[in-house]
Amino acid sequence: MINVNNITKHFGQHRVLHDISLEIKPQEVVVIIGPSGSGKSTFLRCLNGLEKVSDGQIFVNNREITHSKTNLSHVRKEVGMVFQRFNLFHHLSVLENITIGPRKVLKVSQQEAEKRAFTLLEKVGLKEKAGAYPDQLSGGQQQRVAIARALAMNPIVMLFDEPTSALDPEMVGEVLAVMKDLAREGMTMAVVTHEMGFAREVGDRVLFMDDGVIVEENTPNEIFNNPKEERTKLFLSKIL
Amino acid sequence: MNFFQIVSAAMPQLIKGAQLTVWYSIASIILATVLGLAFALLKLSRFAILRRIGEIYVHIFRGLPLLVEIFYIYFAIPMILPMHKWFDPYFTPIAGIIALALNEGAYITEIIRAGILAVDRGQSEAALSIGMTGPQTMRFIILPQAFKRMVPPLVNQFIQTIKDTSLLSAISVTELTRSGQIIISTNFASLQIWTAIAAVYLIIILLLTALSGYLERRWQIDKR
Repeated sequence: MINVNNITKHFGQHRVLHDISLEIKPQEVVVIIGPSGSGKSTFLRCLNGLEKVSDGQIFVNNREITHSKTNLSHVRKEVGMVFQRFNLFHHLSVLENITIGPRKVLKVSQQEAEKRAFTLLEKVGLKEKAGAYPDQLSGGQQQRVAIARALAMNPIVMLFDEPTSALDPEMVGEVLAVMKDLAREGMTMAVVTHEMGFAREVGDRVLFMDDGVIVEENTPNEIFNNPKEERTKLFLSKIL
Repeated sequence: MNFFQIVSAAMPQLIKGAQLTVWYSIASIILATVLGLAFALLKLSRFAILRRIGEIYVHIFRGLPLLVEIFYIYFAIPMILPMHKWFDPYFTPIAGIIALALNEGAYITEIIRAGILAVDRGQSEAALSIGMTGPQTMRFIILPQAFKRMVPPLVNQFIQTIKDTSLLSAISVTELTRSGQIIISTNFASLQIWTAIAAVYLIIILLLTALSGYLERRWQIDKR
């Protein structure tokens, strides 16, 4: 589904990502953990072209998004993204936030888009908030709407960039619950998170990143109970 | 004759002038906003050459006194391009409106650019992430949010434009100021007529302020 071949990224002299390769298979849930500044968010943002790589190739569904001729908006239709700070459109209602993509990008009729939006709102438990504006919602509710907005495009893969890091602790659970449902339904997911419980429970594979490289990659069970690398051990000892 | 008699005798002519002031203001505000939006988008372009064009426009038209711009378009350019013949008999209003619009448009360029830049980057990232193209992102996500924030500074600039129409009296457009000057040249009632002129300007601007207050409330600007 997603193939990453030896990508490198620099910001000026600073090396952010170094020679990263990865394959994400359909229906797989890959969780990326690591200290802040390790490049994990940048890596995720490369997967839908929000960040440009300096070198290497990324294929999404066999389309090379790192090629200069590729129309990125065509690829992004199929790649859902959920941000740490939700990024709901402040001037649109919850319903409009969810329908604007299908309507303007996929050219779905308003009626059809709204029907699907209500189905998604029901799924994330916010049907009664359809007419509300983002600023009237709690962080957890906003993030659930953001997930619904991404799902409205019928993506083949979902990217989550620290989706619970900006939430009050009591709201983390409701967002993780929605994500677990998604994983159970077979959605392909790449998740950058500090929620080790989620990684353990839902992840098929866990990547530990540090200093722009993938230090260790394994099943959650192996990573958490039997880490091989010193840096992984050190990181886990600090956070667990 | 007392104050009220003088003013009421002059009123029909002053109102005619005020009407011209309003029409000139509306025309140049519309044109200036179009110019401002176009050059703001140029200044935000990823192509250096387009950015440079926007910069040069703002530099020139914000950098010159408005009166010089008016004279330049009205007197200087016809020396090399016979525009006054092409547009006869409408050259005076056209030159006046274009001069005003080019000048105010330079300020509006910066207002709109600042408004667009003030919208959080996350908004455009989210829009791009659901597959919107750059122009769609600008139109459906960035501009609607930027516009709400631009209303107060834009209204400021529109008020400035209304007041600046008085400079068109220098190329003999009989707007409010020039109408007053003509009246005074016959009745010499400077105090009364200038007082009346000032009052009419304040009323026009009061109406615009009320309109913008209404729009701000309607769009709930301070809610976000």
